[in-house]
Amino acid sequence: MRWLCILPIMILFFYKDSYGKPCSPRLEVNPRVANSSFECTDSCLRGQELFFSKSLSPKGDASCADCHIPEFSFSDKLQQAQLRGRKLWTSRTPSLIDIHRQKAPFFWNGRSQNFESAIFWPLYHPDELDSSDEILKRFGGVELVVKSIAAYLSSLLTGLAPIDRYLAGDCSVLTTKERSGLKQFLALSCNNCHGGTEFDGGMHELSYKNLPENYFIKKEVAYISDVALHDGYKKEMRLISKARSLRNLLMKGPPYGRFGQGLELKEFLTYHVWQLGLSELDDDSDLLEFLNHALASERELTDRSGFNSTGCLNSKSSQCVF
Amino acid sequence: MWKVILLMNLSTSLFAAGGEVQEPSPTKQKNQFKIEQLQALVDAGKYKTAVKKGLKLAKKTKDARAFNLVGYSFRNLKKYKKAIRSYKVALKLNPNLSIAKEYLAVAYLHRKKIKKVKKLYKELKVEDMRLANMLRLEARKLGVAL
Repeated sequence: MRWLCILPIMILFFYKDSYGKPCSPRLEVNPRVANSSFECTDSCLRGQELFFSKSLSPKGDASCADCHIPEFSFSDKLQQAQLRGRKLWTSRTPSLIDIHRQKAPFFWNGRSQNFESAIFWPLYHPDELDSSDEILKRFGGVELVVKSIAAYLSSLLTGLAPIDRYLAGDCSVLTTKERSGLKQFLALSCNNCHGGTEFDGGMHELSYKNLPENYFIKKEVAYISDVALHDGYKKEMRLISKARSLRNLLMKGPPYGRFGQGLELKEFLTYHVWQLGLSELDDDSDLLEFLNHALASERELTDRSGFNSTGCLNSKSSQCVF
Repeated sequence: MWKVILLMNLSTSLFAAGGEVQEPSPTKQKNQFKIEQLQALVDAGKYKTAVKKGLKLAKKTKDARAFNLVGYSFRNLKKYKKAIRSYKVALKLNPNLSIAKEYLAVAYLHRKKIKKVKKLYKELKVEDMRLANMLRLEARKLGVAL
């Protein structure tokens, strides 16, 4: 008899969410936690100034914000990154929105394991800011610059999305089509690569085709993930790329993919399905519905015009949550 | 009753352990930060600064990755003897750092020590086929077939 009383308590205990029954289809992911009390610290404010400052480059002709443009979700909406009017050999400029929440590694080829030190690459590279320790000394030294910019980037956060409420037990928040899209998402095992709270992941080998010839470089291979790019021009090849977060895709794109292969999300999905060697998606796939709406932060659903590009510059107490 | 409480406590601790991601120690984090700074300098082609910073870091931390990057910088400054010495120290500190083996082989390629290159290529084929491919590519550029 005693066991009969204890059993329901134990069942409740073993449920992931104590406040609601998991919705169906079930996704084994923790929802995002609202970040309503964010304050921009002194370091964050200093970082914002540095992010927009051209003084970090030796000729005063480039800043982080030249490629990571706030109005374009801190990306540039280009298929191939450009700076000082020149195309860069690198992959597409990734959006910096929610970058602090994302899993390591960073960059498309996964060359950095640490969110803060990832900033060294654009700072030092001659095609990007081309800064040096001598220049950075004027701003308090390289470590202070990197940590301040990192503090600013940590403030570029989006809010909760319908999926967070769904994961917390509010099953009615997703439409029938979005739920059907989630079912497809799970059936295609998308969550194997785009998993966790941010729907992102680590490094995965993918097929690529028809890349422009200027992506193929003759320089010595620096990263195993990029070997195929150094092996002469090929129409099709395999590269190892970072699985980016699927949250707020409409806000971050187009284009989509490491090389901006998809100008529209639907087009990119078809390409991505080919990259993975999966069977083709139906034209009326609900997966798109799920990606477009269930994973879009609620503010974005109502206000698609973007967000405040000045972030938290004006007031220390102003929130940087978009 | 006490058995149930014990079971619940045990489950709680198991759940907690499962969900916890172990943070690396502050020293390890700082080292990783410095190593990535070095890697960024190397990728930027700022080899002289990389050697200066790298030697300081390598001596202080005895980190094989730092010696490896110093070796890479020396090699790009065409100081092959110093590069080979750095790679060897890196491999002594961490024999599993296969990338240092690949870089060492490239340094030998420049020194025209093809026997040594072939020996390392054989080892890399067993350890990591992708690194072996990287070496094959570099050898091909220098006119050597492996």
